[in-house]
Amino acid sequence: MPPLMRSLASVTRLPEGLATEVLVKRALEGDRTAESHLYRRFASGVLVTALRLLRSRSAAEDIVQDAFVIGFARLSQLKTRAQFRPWLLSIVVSQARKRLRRERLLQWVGLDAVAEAPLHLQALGSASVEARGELAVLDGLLRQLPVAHRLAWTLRYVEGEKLDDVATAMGKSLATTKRYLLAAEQQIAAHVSLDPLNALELESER
Amino acid sequence: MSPLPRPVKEALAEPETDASVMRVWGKIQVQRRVPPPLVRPSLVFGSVLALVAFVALVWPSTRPPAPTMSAAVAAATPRSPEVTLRRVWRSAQGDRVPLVPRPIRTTVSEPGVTVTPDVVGALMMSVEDAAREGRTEQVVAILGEIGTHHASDPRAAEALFMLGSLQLEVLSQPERAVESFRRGLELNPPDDLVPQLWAQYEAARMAARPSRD
Repeated sequence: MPPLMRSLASVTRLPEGLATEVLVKRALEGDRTAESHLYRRFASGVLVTALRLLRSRSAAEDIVQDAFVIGFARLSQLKTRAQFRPWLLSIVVSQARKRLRRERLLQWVGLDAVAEAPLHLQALGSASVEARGELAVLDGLLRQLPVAHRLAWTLRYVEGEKLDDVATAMGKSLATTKRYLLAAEQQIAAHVSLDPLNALELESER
Repeated sequence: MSPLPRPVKEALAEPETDASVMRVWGKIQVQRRVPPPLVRPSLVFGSVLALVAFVALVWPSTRPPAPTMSAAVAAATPRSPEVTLRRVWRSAQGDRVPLVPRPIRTTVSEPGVTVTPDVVGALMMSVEDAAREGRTEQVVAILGEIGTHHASDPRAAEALFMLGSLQLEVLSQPERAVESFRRGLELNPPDDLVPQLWAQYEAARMAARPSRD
């Protein structure tokens, strides 16, 4: 029997729907199947987030690749195993931050990175022309914001992440994260027509 | 005009990610197999620059004067090979020639060494993963990819053998199995695989033959 056939015959299957902490535990014990399950469970979500953060599919794929390689290598540093996703997201955000800062440096020397997927090109097919226009304005405003503000606002108000998760992903305190969000909100709300923050949310942000 | 919703993603289409997810998983497998560089190229470059600067600017003024040959001989152990060498040197050159400090050799590792990723190996690992999880379609797709796009790899014939076996025995697609085995035989398979390939090829041909009943 060829070696690959042998290895295929010998592989074991893991039941679907295992809890994340169980998968992390097994991955820590060197179970590659568990790693594969973790990847399949979270890759798509973080890829979409990375795409919205970077507006480039190739860049998003690159940072997701790096994030999983780093994540699997440093899995033992994950304190709460059930918190794999926020932890992974923090690695993605860290990689995205580096990439955006590099892009900004390149902008200064006149080498603008091409955004393959700006927000208005990601709009729903049914979106009106006005909505697409607003998205285009929003995309331009986000590009001008400081990288940290842009990342925090995108995670919170584009992706809809919880405030705690945004703070974890940013690697900042809750207070600092709120400060980033408010600063970005002031810039954006003046130019883009967005659903207003409700009172409860506004209070929470402050 | 209605304002944009919060979160804004409600106004955005969900991007297609399946192909990217598969592609990235393959790259992750490759990246994890390639050992990380021992030193960063920038560090090597910086170290070499610092060393050159030290040699050029600082070292000549701080080094002690080169000892004369006779002093060096006196300081050395009479039986040491160095003394013997110096004696030979002195006999050939005399004390007129001062010792010249040996130039410092700098060994620089080669940051430009390229490591060719084992794409077929990564694809095979993906096959294993997909088989482990029972994703037959993906197994078939990846094996087909190896057989089609990596035909020069010695493992391509093995992949086509597996593909044909799956098509014949699992998917009930004998015509496709015939084609897979035929392509496998064309790829100069390893000797131990040839009899199995021929046997499976014949079995697939028999299965593909339309019934005369």
